[in-house]
Amino acid sequence: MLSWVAIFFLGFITLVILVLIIRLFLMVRYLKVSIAKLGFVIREDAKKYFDEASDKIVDTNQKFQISYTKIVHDGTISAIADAGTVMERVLEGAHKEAGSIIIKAREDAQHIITESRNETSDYANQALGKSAETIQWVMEQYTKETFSTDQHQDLIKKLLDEYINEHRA
Amino acid sequence: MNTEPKLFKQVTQILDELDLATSSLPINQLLAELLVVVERLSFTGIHDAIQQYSLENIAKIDLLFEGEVSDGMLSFIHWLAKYNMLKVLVDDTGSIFLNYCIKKYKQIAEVKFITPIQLSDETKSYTLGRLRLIYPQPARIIYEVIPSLSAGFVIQDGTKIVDRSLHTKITQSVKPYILKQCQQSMVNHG
Repeated sequence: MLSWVAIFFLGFITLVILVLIIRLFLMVRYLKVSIAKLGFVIREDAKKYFDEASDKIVDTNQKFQISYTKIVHDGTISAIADAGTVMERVLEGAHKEAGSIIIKAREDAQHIITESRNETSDYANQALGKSAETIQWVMEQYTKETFSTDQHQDLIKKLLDEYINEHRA
Repeated sequence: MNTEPKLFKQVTQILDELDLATSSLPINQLLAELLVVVERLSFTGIHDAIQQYSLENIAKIDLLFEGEVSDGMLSFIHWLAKYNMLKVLVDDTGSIFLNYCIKKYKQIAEVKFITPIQLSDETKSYTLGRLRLIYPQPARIIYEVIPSLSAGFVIQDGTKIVDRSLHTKITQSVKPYILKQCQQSMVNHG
């Protein structure tokens, strides 16, 4: 009698374990499918994100090319005009020869754009920030090449006279 | 017989000559060179050998200080040798003279006039005359060349800087312009 009870009990335990194993197996399969789905969603999402980002980079670079050239162009004219009001006669010639300066500025701008074409928009922004340096460089080159020693000395005398008069007033 | 007025006159004359010969030297350089002169004259005792101002003796002085002091300081030593006063810069007298100079020159204002090019003597003379209206004697006007200024000048007098250089002018006008353009560009392109 006792042995029948034991056999029945063992059979029951085995059945429960079997059910649990089957359930665990089904859960793992379900989980795998879920992970695969999730992975697909993530991949698609990432793809979409990177596609958008890469479009944006291309777009930024294109916009950058246009705006950078314009900034350097306008900035050079502005710098010459502004400096000209202070340096008056000595920089008067710079207005007349602004064309050659702008061509040089455009060449510099083109050089920077070519370098940044395959880079990220961060680089483009950095390069954009360098436009001020480009304009400064162009103006300084112009001054070095065009100013004679006499012009330099005349300018120094004139500016010193202005400062002395301001100081004494 | 009272020799003090004579000695005082002599010392004043030496200091005036030192001022004149080294007027273009920064004060720190002047004092450093004066120290070299006092040390070297005391160490070599060359002043005893130079009793007459001759070409041979000038050559000895030049050889002793070659590459060590500026042309201005060298001409001051020549002047002392010419009037047989090198002994003023030797041993204890030299130390007293040096000590006096350190105290004197430390109180004198030094004004730097910085330009992008080397000025001609005529322009230096003109600018010196104009600067003296603001910085009268005994302030020292030192000329310095910094090519990166592009054009114009900078005055540094130890208390303030007066910047009338093209480099600064361009920086001041271009940077705000670029900043404005960048901001506008960001707004336009989202």
